Amino acid sequence: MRSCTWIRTAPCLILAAVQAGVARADELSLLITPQSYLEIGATGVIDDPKRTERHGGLDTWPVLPNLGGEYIHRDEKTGTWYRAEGHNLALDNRTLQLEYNRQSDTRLLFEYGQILSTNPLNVSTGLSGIDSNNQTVNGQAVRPIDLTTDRYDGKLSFTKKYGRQLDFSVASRTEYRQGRRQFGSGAPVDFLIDPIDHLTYEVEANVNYTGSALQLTGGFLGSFFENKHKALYSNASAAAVALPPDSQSYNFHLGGAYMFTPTTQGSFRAAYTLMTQTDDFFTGQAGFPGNTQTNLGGRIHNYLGQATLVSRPLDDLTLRAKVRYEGRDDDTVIQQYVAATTTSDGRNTDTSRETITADGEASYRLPAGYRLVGGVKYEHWDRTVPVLRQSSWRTDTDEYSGRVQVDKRMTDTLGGSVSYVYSVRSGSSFLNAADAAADVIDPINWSDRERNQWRFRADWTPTSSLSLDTYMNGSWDTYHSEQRSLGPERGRTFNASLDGAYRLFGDWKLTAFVSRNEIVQEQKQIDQSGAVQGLFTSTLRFLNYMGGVGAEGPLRDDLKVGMNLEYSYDKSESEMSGTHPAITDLPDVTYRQLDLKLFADYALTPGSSLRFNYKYTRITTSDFTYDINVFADGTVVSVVPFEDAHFLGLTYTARW
Amino acid sequence: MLRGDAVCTSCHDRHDFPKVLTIGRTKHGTRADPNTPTCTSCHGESVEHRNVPREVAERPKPDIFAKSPPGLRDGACLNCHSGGKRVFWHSDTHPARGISCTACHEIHNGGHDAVLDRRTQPKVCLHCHKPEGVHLNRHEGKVICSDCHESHGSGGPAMMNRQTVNDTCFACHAEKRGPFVWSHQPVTENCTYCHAPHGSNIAGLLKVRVPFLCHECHEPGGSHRGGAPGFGIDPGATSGNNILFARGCMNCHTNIHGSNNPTNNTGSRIFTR
Repeated sequence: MRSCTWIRTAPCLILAAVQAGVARADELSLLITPQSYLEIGATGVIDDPKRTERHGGLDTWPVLPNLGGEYIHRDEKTGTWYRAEGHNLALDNRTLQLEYNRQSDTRLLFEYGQILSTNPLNVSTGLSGIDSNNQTVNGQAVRPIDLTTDRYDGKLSFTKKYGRQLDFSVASRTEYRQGRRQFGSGAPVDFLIDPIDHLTYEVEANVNYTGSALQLTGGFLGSFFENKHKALYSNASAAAVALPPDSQSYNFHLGGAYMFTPTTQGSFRAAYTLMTQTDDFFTGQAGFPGNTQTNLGGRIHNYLGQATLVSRPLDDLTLRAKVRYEGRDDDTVIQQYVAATTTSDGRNTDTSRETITADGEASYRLPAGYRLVGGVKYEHWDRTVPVLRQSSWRTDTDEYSGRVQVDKRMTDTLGGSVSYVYSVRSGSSFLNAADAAADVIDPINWSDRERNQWRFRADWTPTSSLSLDTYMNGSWDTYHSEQRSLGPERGRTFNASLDGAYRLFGDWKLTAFVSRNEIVQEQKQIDQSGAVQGLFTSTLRFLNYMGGVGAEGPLRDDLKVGMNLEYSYDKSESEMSGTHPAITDLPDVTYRQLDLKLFADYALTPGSSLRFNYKYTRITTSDFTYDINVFADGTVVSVVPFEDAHFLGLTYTARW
Repeated sequence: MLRGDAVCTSCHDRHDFPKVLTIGRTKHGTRADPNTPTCTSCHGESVEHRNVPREVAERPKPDIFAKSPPGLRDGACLNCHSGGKRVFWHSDTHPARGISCTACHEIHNGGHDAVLDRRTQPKVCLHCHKPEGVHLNRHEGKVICSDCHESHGSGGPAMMNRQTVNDTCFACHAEKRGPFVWSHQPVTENCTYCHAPHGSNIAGLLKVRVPFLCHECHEPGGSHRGGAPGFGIDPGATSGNNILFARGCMNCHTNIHGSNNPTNNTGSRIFTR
């Protein structure tokens, strides 16, 4: 520009204006055009990451390629999106999505995911035939094996919209799972493996109507499970062990909402599900009178009905009422399958039941930034009773609860809420277990229970740079039944956390958090199993502390760095005491994990960067339940008490 | 960027911060789609924001903006995003607690909405759902919140995305569904009686370590059901070590979710061999 003479000035100005316009257009285009990126790099682990990488897809060296990214193209003329997204494509936990989407018209989506799950336990066994359903205890020399499970999941979905009011979708999902799960048979128990070879597929079709006042959604969901192996045969036991049978579920559902007035809306949901299981028995039944079944002929009908009404009669008042019914009608023929004993008639059981839930809530916005929420809830269960019961039984349970919550927005920078919930559960008289001599327990899912729970949370932004967020939750359960002397006695939970973020200068940001979590349950039991008998009480306590700090920001215009350090400590206690003469208080089970993450992101050009990642993980476990884990056949299953692993990654990213 | 946006972008241009123009990268910025919004579809006509009254010192906010009442903000979204998965929005917990669409979704964030990305979604949800995050700090990201929960409302328990808790679990664990010849009663009612799906330091995501978990319901009886766990008590039998080590009771009761063995084998009735 400085070299321009006045004769040249005009064209130069025009050129400069055009260049500026092009620059603005490029800048604008960058802001409004969907961005794609490609990541190419390498990643590797030093040391054994067996626990850390349980689902991570990484193993000890060698270095593996890191490949991922997202390609997006939008055809501006037709409003059609073409998208391909993939992550960890070279690892065993890869994901991939392919999408065609003509916006507001047609969408076709393919999704694929894979998970390799490795059980972190060390197993040394002489079991042979471990991936088949015919296994031999000590059939070969003892050697270490891995317990792994691979999941491969694929889904294809198609959606078509007909204007703003109507759309239709179909989807098909298939998951194949193959692997090994720890199993056992015999007494004392020999080590076996459940040879997982499962196929689950689902088909789903839905139609949605969205009118100005009425909305409807309805459809079908079919779910089908197939297992290659029906039974596990071994020399550990003369009788084969049943494996999960094939089963089917057919669900039809209809839901909707209707706007009665601008301030009052109702919604409903109705569904019917048929669950079936007609897998042929792998051996003939034993021929009990009247039993000619070659398969269970399992048929369960499930019914669901639900209605909700929400209204805002005043600007500051919102009312909500909901009622829900669930019915399970077990239509399976009851037959005798095994010999009767004093505690069992040898027959399968009727699992029918009904559940009714009713819930009401009012929310009122008070002056000075307060909001008051109050609600009541009732839940009723009605269960079918087996003729002979393995445990105490209750046909009916009823639970009533009330809740109140106060929210307060004191200023733009300070707010919080406090809530309290009280609930009490009781029910019909207990029905004795078949073994009535010991009929004294109070099963946890239907025992009388009183619960008090409160929550508090607050957020505070004292300066434009600093924000704090705190949360506390406490709950106390008391189980009490006049008829019962064993089972759960008391329960308690307490969670507290504090999160903070501070914007230091420029784009530098610091974060920190601490939390404490505790769950306690006290229960009573009697050991009547052998020569040594007596009462014992267990106080089961789970305690967790966590804390972390993080920092990230730019060192230069083209270099951003960050770090994150987190520590977590878990402890499980099983404090036992009582009149049982041989009671030994059990050691604690502890788990400590330290994670250090570092990264540096270097901008090579405006559209490309190089990222370095480092992660160090250190895990220390003390789990006595695996210290003595020797099966009758000599198989040893043990936990790895210490693990540390260094992860390194270098990734080049290109964006356009 | 958006259709009819000139009245806004004359001020909110490429230098604006936050960079509101990046909405152009998103589905909202697809101009070929006649259903996409204009700025004023979501933010209102905002007359006083555009033409500041003389007597006002500070420019009024738009009619609908980040700190407007949740119902007002949600209305802007629901004008287009009603129906389908949002049929039960008004009936469920989030709007009742003042959680609006934009509490979770980022509309102007350049096409990356953290709650829609599997890698970042848990962080968004756990901002409010703190207790659920206790063990998720070491999550592997394989199962995320929306795999089980329908945050737009389902009307069902805990906003599960299928009709019951068990139906949701069976989507991935269909082998536990049955029906079986031998059913385990609590399994048919609710998986969360025994399992802590948000995380546990006990294998199998159990709430309580076995055998204590089983002791919550099972009578002492004449057999070993109330057996005291410990060292040196009846070694090799069915109490003491054998109900404590490794998988505890499930070392023998391997088919604890239900068994289908029809042979005259009483062990199958109690989920063993």
